[in-house]
Amino acid sequence: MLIPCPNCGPRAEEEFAFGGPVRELPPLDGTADAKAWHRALHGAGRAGGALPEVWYHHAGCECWVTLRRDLASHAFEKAPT
Amino acid sequence: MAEPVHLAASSDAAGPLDAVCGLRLDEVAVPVHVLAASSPARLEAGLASAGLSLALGQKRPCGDGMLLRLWPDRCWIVGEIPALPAGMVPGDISHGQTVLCLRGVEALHFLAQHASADLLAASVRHQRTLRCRVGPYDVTLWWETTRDLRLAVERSLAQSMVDFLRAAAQRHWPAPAQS
Amino acid sequence: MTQPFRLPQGGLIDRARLIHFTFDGAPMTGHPGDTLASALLACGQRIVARSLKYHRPRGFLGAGLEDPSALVTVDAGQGRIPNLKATEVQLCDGMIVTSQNNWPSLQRDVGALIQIAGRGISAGFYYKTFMWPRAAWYRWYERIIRAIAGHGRIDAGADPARHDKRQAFCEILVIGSGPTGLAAALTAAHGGATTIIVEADFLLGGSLLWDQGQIEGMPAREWAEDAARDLATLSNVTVMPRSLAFGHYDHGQVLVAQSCDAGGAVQSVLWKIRARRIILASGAVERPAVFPGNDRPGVMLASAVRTYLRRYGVAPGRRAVIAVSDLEERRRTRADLEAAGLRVVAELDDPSRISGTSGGLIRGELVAVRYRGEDGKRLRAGADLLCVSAGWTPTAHLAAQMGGHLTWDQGANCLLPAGATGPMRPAGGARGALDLAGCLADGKALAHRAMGELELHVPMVVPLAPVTPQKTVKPGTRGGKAFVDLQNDVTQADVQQAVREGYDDVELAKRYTTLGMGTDQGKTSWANGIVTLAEALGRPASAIGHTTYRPPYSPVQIGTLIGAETGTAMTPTRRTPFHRVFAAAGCVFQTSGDWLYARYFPLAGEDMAEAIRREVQAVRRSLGCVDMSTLGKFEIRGPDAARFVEELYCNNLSTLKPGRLRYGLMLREDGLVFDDGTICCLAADHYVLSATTTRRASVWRHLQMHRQLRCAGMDLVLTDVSEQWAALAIAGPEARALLRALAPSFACESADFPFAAIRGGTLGGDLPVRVLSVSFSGELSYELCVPAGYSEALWERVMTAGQAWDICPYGLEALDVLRIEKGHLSVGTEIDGRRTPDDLGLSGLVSTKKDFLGRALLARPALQADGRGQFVGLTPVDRATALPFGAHLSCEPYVAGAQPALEGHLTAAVVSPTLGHPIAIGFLRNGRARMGERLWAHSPLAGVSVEVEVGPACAFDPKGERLHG
Repeated sequence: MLIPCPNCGPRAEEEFAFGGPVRELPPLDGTADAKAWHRALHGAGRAGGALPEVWYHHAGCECWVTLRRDLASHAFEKAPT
Repeated sequence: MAEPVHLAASSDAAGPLDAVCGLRLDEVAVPVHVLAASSPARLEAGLASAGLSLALGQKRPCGDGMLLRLWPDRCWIVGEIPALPAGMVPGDISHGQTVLCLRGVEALHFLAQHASADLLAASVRHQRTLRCRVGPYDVTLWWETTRDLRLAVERSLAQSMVDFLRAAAQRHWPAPAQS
Repeated sequence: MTQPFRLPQGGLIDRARLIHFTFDGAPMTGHPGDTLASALLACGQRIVARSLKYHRPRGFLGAGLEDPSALVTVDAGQGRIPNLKATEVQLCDGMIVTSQNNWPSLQRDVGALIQIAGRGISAGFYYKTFMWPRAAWYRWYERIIRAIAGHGRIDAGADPARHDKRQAFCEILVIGSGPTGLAAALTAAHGGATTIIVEADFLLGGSLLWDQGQIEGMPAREWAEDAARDLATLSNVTVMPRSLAFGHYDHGQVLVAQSCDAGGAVQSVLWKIRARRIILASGAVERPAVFPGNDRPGVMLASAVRTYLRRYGVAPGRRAVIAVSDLEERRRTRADLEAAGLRVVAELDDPSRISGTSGGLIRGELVAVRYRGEDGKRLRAGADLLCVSAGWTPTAHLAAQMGGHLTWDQGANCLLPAGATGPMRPAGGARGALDLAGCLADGKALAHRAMGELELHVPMVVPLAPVTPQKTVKPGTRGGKAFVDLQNDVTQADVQQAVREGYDDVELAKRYTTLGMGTDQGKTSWANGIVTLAEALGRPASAIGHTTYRPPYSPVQIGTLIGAETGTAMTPTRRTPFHRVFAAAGCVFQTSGDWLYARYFPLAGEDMAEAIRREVQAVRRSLGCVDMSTLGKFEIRGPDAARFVEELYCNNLSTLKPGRLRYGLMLREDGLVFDDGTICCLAADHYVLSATTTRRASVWRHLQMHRQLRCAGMDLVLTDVSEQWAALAIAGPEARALLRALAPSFACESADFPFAAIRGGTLGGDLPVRVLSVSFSGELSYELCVPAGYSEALWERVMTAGQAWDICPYGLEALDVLRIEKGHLSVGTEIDGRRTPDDLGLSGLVSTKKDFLGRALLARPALQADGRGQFVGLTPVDRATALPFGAHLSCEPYVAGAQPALEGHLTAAVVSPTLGHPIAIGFLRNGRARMGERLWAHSPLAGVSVEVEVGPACAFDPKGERLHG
C-alpha cells in the first residue's frame, strides 16, 4: 500500500508500523472507571467503510499519523494538510 | 590529556564497494546533534530567532555544517553547532548514528534502486535530503551532488548495512547505454 | 547437426552464427534469436514432453508464455531449472535440455500405460480411490504417487545464481510492447512522462514481429524496430525487455521479474515498480479448439504457426490443415504457409467440424485430420500440421488480480476486463480490440488519457477502439479425448462429469477437474472451460463467471523472489558496540531477534556448560563484566517530564530524587505488565528510562504515541538514545574495587554512591561516563555507560584494571543463570503479556495515590481474582534431577495418556553452580500460599516427571545483602 503521510507525502507501507484504530482513551485523572476504559480500548463494533487509524512512520518523520482508510479497497483519504 | 580517547569505527566500510561500478563507501566521524522542541511551533520560533528558519523536509547549511529538518518537532545539526537561543539545548547523538559516505558517478542512481521512496523525483532532487528505507534499514540521507551522498543509520546496524550495500553493488551494473 | 525444418530465408535470427545445445543427450543446433522451441522444431524434434496424467506425447501448442505442454528442464550453467516452457527460453550456447515426466525415455514412456486405466482416472478419481486397504497407503500408494506426480525434478543443491531486488518509480508504466504498448509508450514518452515499458520477450514488438500488415507505410516489423530505437534514445524512458510483469498490487505497484544476460552480475532481478498510471497492453492469447485428439503434437495455434514461420524461419510441418474461425486470420495463415512453401491440404472455417486426429503409431504425432465437410461428408486429410483458432482471449490477468472483474461479452465471445482497476487501464488486445489499427489507436488514446489525469497536459477525451466481435465456436461433441486443459489433462468429458456429480459452480468445477490449475493458469483453457461448462449446464457463458486470478501471471523462480536475502543477509543484524573486542576475546555469539549477542566466552578446551559454570562462579566469587548495551534508553527533558513518566509507570515516582533510580513496571492500557526497566532521575526535569532489548522498539513507539496523541500539550522532549550509549556492567564482590581503580571523577564509596543511584562524570579524567548502580545478577554491580564510540577504550581499561581480580567477561547464558538464581524477571518468559504486577510478586510497586496507564483496567475482577498464577521458585525434592524447561506443574505424578489438572508451568530452569543443585522459577496457582508444598513437574515431550518443592522465587541471597557489597 502507499500511505499518504501528512509530513512526508505518499510513502510505501514498509516505512510504517500499524497502530490499530484510533482510540479515544479517557484522561488519566482518576475519574474514568474500568467500564469506560474497556469501551474506549476494545471499542464497539465498527461499520464498514473508512476507519480512522494510526500509523507510525518510523522510516520518515517518526510521528504517529492519523489516517482514514477504507478497509475493503485500501483507499486512504487524503490527509488534511 | 595528551591523546584523545580512541573512537572505534562501527563498520568496516573503507573504500571501494565493488570492481565494476566505481562506488566507494566510507565511514565518516562527524558530530550529529538533535535539536528538539516541545512543539513544531516552538522549534520554528527558536530556529527563526537564530536566523536558521527551515521548513519541514528541507536542509540548509549553517556555518561549516548542515541543518536537517525531517521531523516536525526536531532537526539534526550535522557538524559544527551554530549559536542557538537560550533554552535550545542540542542533544548529542553522534555515537548513536553512523554516518556513511557513498561516492561514485552512479551513487544516487544506485541507491535509488534500493530506496523505498523515489530518490529521483523532482522534489527530492531539489531538497536533497530525506528519510526513507534503503533495503531493510531506516536511513537519513542528505547530499550536495548526486555523486557524494551521506547516509546516517543506527550504529548497531552499520555493519549490516555496509554488507548489504556491498552485496548490492556487486550485483549492480552500470546504467545501460541506451537510457 | 542439420536443421531440416529451417526455412531457407526469413526470420529474426542470425543465420551466420550457430548455437549448440543438447536435448535428451542428442546434439542440436539453432541460431541467435531462436527460442528453445523454435530450434527444436527446426531440428525436427516435434515431441518434447509427456502430459501430466495420461502421459500422452506432447509438442508445442503455442509459441510463447501461453504454451501448456512443452515443459522441459534446462541447465544453462546456473543450475538445473525444471518446468520451463521451451517456448519462453531464449536459446543460449551450451544449454543442456532434458524432457520431463517420462521413464525410461520420451519416446518409450512406461507411464503411457496408465491410459489403460481409462475412465478410472477421470476427474476427481483420487477422491474415490486409494482408500483401501489403509495399510497400503503408507506402503504403496504414497510412494507410487510421489514417484509419478508432478513434472520436473528440482535440483536440491544451493542455487548458484545471484539475484537482486530493486525499486523503480515512474509516471506511466506500459506492460507489453506490441502495437498497443509501443504506441502508448511513444505517446507517453514524447509527452514528457517518465515511462517504463516492460516486455517479457527478449525483443520488443509483440505480434508485430510476425504479423503482416503495414504501419505508417512500413512493414510492421520495421515499424517495431524503429519504435524500439526511438524509445531507447529518450532519457525519460526505461525499456525493459526480458521482464515479466507478473503481479499487480495495491496503489499502482507492479512486480516484474527481469532475467539478465548470462555471465552478468546477476541472473535475475525482481523489480518493484510503483507507477501512477499503468497501461496494460498485454495483448490476447489465441484460443485452441476442443475436438477429439486436439492435443496431438502437430496441432498448433494458428498465430503460433505464423510466429514460427515468420519470426523464427522454421516450418512446423510440411502439409497443413487450417481450421481457423476468423476469416481474415484464416486468409493470412494460408498466405504465410504458402509463402513458406508448405502445402495447404484443407481449409475449414469452423474447427468444431473436426471429428478427430490420427497419430503415428510409433511416436504419436499428427499424421491425418478427420473432419466433416460442408455437406456432412466424412473426409480425411493427410497432414502433419493442424493450425487451429477459435478466437482470442484478452490477457487481462493483471487487472483481475486486483479485483477487476471480467465479464463475458456475447459479441466478443470472451471475458473482457473492466475499463479501469485502480490506476491500471487495459488497452488494445487486452481490452478486446484485436485489429492492428485499433491497437495503435488504443495505445495512443489511453496514454493521452493517463497524461491528462496526471495533469501532464490538458485532459483529452480520446475515443477508444471498438471491441472486435468474434465468432462463437461450439466445442465438438464427438467421442474420444477432447481436451479442454492440456496441462492438467482435463477433457470435455471430465467437465461434463463434474456437472453430473453436482460440482456445477465454476469454482467447484475448477477444483474437481483441476481445470486451469496448472502452471499455465489456464491461459489456453479457461475460455473453452467456461464455454464447455455453459454447454453442460445449459446456461449462457455470461452466467458462468470466472475464478479468482492470483499472481504470478507466469511462474517465477523462488530465487528471484528472494533476491540477495539469503544466509546472513536474510534479516538485518544488529551488533553491539563491543562486538569487535568480544570477537577478539574468543566470544561465541548467538542471534537473538535482530541482535548478535555474546553467548559465552570459552577458554581453550572448554565446552559451553563448563564455560557458563566458570563465568557464574567468577561473578559470585569475585568479578565479571557483561554487555548491557542492547537495552533501550530514552531521555525525557522538560518541565512536564516528571508528569509524563508518572503516567506511564505504575510506581510512585514522587519520592524519586535526582541522582537516584528506581525499578519500574510499565503497564499496558489493559493493566497487564508490558515492560520492566529502570527510571533514572538526573534532575527534576530530566529522566532517563530503560527498556528491555526485546521491547526496545515497541516501548519507544508507546512513548511516542503517548506523547504525540495524548500529551501533545505537555512541555517536554523525548530522545531515543539507545544507540548513543554503550553499557558494560561490572558485577561481583570486587566491583567497587574495580570502579575505584578506573579513577572516576565522583566518589564511589558505599555511602556516597549507594545502590539504585546514578552518577555522571569521567573515568581517568577523559572518558565521559554515566554509572548506574543496578544489578541484574544480584551481586554488587555497576553499569558503566560511555558514548558508544568509546566502547573499546572502556573495555581496554576495564579488562586491564580488572586483571587484579581475575575479571571474567560473561555472556547471555551466564547472565540468565545468575538472574534465575535471584528470581529476576525476564521479558518473554515471565513477563509474557498475561501477568499483573501482583502475579509477579510486585504489587508493592503499584501506587495507590495516582492515576496511570493501566490502573483502571488493572482493577478488573478477573485480574484481581483468586486462583491466578503467581511467581514462585521450585526445587527438585532430591536436589539432583534436572528440571525440564517449560514443564507443567500438577499435584499428581504423570501417567501416560492421562490429563492431570494443571496448576502452573516453569518459565526457566537451570542447574545452579552457586547452590549446587537444579532450580527453576515459574507460575503456580495461588503460589504464594503454597510455600513448601510438593508438586510434580511434567514434561511429556522429554518423558520426564520430577517431584518439586515450592519456595520463594529468589533462591540465593533472598535479603539482597550482596547488592551493597
